[in-house]
Amino acid sequence: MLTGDISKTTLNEHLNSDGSTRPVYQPLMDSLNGLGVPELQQRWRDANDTAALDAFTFMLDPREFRTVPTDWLPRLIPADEWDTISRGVAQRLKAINHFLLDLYCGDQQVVPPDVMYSCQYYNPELQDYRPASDVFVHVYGIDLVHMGDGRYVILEDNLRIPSGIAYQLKTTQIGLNVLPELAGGYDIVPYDIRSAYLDMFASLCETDSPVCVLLTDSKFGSAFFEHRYLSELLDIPLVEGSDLYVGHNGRVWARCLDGDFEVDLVYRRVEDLELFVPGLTEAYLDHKVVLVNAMGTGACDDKLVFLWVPDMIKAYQGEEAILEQARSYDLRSPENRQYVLQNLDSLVLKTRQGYGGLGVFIMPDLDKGYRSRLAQQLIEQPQVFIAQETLDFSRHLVFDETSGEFEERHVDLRVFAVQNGRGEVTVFPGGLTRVSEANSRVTNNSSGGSCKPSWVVR
Amino acid sequence: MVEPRSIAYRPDRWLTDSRVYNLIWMGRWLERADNTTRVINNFARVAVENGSDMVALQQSLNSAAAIRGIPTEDPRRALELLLRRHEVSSIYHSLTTARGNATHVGTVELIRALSEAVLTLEDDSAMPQSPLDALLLTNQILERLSAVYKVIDDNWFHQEALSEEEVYRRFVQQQQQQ
Amino acid sequence: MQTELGGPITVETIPVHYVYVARYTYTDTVVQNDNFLRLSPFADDCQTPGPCSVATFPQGRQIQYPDRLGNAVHRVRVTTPHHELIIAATGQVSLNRRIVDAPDVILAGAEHGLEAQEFLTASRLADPTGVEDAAREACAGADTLLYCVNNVVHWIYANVRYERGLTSVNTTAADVLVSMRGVCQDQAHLCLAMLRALGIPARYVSGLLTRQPGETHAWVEFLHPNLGWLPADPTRGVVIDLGADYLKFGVGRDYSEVPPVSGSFISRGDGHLDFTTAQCFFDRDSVSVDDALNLLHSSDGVM
Repeated sequence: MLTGDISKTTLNEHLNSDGSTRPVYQPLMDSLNGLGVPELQQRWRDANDTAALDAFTFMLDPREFRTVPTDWLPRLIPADEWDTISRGVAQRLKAINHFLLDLYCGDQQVVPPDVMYSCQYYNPELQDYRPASDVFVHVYGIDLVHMGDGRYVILEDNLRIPSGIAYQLKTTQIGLNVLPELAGGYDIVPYDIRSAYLDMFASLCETDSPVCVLLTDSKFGSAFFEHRYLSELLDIPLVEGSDLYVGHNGRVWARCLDGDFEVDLVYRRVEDLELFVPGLTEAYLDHKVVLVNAMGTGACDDKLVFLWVPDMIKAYQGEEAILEQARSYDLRSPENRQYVLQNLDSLVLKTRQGYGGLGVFIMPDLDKGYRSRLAQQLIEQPQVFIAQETLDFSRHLVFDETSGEFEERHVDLRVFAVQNGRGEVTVFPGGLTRVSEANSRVTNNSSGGSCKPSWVVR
Repeated sequence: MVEPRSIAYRPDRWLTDSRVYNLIWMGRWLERADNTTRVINNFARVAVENGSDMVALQQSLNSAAAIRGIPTEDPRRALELLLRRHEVSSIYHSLTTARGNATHVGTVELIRALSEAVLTLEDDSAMPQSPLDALLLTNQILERLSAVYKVIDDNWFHQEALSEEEVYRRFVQQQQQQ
Repeated sequence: MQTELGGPITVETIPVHYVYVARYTYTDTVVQNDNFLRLSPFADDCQTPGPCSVATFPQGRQIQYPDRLGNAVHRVRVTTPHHELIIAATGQVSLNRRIVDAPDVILAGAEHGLEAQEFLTASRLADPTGVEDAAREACAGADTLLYCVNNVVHWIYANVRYERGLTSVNTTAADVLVSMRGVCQDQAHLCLAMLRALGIPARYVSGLLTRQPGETHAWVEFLHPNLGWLPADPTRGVVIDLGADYLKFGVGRDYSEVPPVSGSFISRGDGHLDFTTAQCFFDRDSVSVDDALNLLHSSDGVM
């Protein structure tokens, strides 16, 4: 458990280290004071109602209608800090895409073969397969934490089916609608997800106006809100696995009441494609359909492969990484194992294949019995884990509308970017700030955390 | 053959199998919610006009509940069962399930309109205490349902709208062909 | 050649051809089957692999790579829908039969590098904690390495009864110490745990018995400070000189790190290993996948 004093040593997003308010937060603080607590409570309820009405959900249990817990107080990122993040994310995405191409179609020398090929998400069947325009990761999500003074550190990459971009948009939209006063004094950097996506889709297809569909795992899936939202935003059909099939011409078809139609591109939001649409893999390998993201991207999602991304940037971009990443330990090496076992109490253990906060163990926050069980598991199966330094990352004010009090919680930042067929990367300013529960550093929505809008302001 | 793009991007939106499935079920659940609401509304109006009390209203609702397969061992609970409690046949359940279907069918206006209807029953403590309460509540639900129908009319079907019958007929026809 | 310290002398090189086959059956269609196969000979002083291959039916895409312990791994992913998967491995290897004139060393205070540490501590199926008493009993006061290994191996050979059907791939050394029964894999695990408890780094070896057709075999290797890894087989009570009777596929801290076949499949149904066998030939010039399939079909004929 985190102790109370951590809040004293940890950076608060709205404060300087001397306790004074950061200039960028001053107008926001003034607006909050101007509105007053009772008015804030009312607005919070209005915003929550809007979220409920619009079915702004993140389902943990398919039987339960659960709106995303949201703190409507925006997180502010100054434009100059954002510039570094944005360049760092673009650099990283390009390097990862380059690496994946080299992995499947070339002779990559960056990551040791036993690490690469033992990865669960490495796809042997993709050897020598070039995806459309040589891009694997079209939609990219990256988890960052702020260590203060504009220093952002990468915790992990999300390369398979990163979710959250609609949550970024929706929290911002509702927040601005219900609390327009908070934007006073700010010039919020705008962005256009719709154009960037549609342009990316078109750049991957041979036809000018491709038929694109969004493949969902059904309305019982946890992020279904996002699937519906994006389908409406992009104006592309929302399909389930059963709507698609591979026709006699080897192409992918969608079943439709007015006649089935051929599909050029599947923006897939499901992992096991073959399970949802039998034959889709073959159609893909025959270049009959474009997949966003491509198959095989999970190879770089592996927490162990993560360790080599800075080397990928060096190898393929010839540059040093702009953003640093959490210091991690490869437990295949006996030296590292020894170090990690000796310092276990201050580290984070992650399973190689985990995602969404599953398989993340923050040792300082666990009790002794649990720690020693994990230590035992680590000795027995070191290849399952990696270890990472525990970061004392920033906290942010949140407003509790029931009590009318402000509290502080740990926050991370998931930033989204797309890379199109011309190799251009667009990073969407702001991202989705995820808020941990009280006394926790785990911020994932799958683990019950909430989210808040994030603005990049000039 | 129909030009694919014209189907995928026609103004009243694509009717893929899963969408049609959800559309049909949304219609059925809405129908059920509407029907049950009107039954309560009617009995409540009669009760208000006759000046009868809650006990009498509950008793008269008993048969309505029985028709819907709701066990009625306790006649004093017929109203709340019909409104909210029953896991399959209550108005609340019908509306939330319809909303689930609506999240696939879209648009957000439709989801919002349905959510507004769900809200009327969201608050557990707002159970009617008198026939007048029941009348007002069901009036409110019917109003919200009208709003839902209007959204469907305005935003979904446009001029080329298919009737539910037609959608269902084609769906069945297509199923038989496969 | 013999070193000044004493050591292995290669006395003969014997070419062997091997054939391995396994059939997995499933109760429902499998749409994806992703397997890691450790069915190719390990390369070291004791054996020199020749041409080797693995094949599956239905066919899959495959890649080959060495894992962190140097085992040759074939990863094969089958995406053709199937109800039955056949895995066949064939190849040739030269066994270098070595006579070892190993100098014995005092156990107490033996130093091992960091690399050996993982073979001294607990692995998933062979944890030295809990078998210390039995280990002391088995080594019977021996205070030198070879004497000690010899005693432990023969203690297991004498006391742990070979019996099929009682244990599974999850049976630990501690379980075996209780039941005192099991197959070669269980005997090897107990041996590993006991050697580790005595401060001797030990690893699990998976492979074939060249003169005994049938399933795969398991034995152990222990670390000699001057000579490196030396073999011992508790199932047959043999230490160091295995003759040309053993073909090594891979090494690991225990079975869970070198199963001949491991992986996952996507299906609504369950799967099970329906049949497996292996055979080595000293008198053949070549073997092919057809030989593997013949082994399978001849077994079907018997049934």
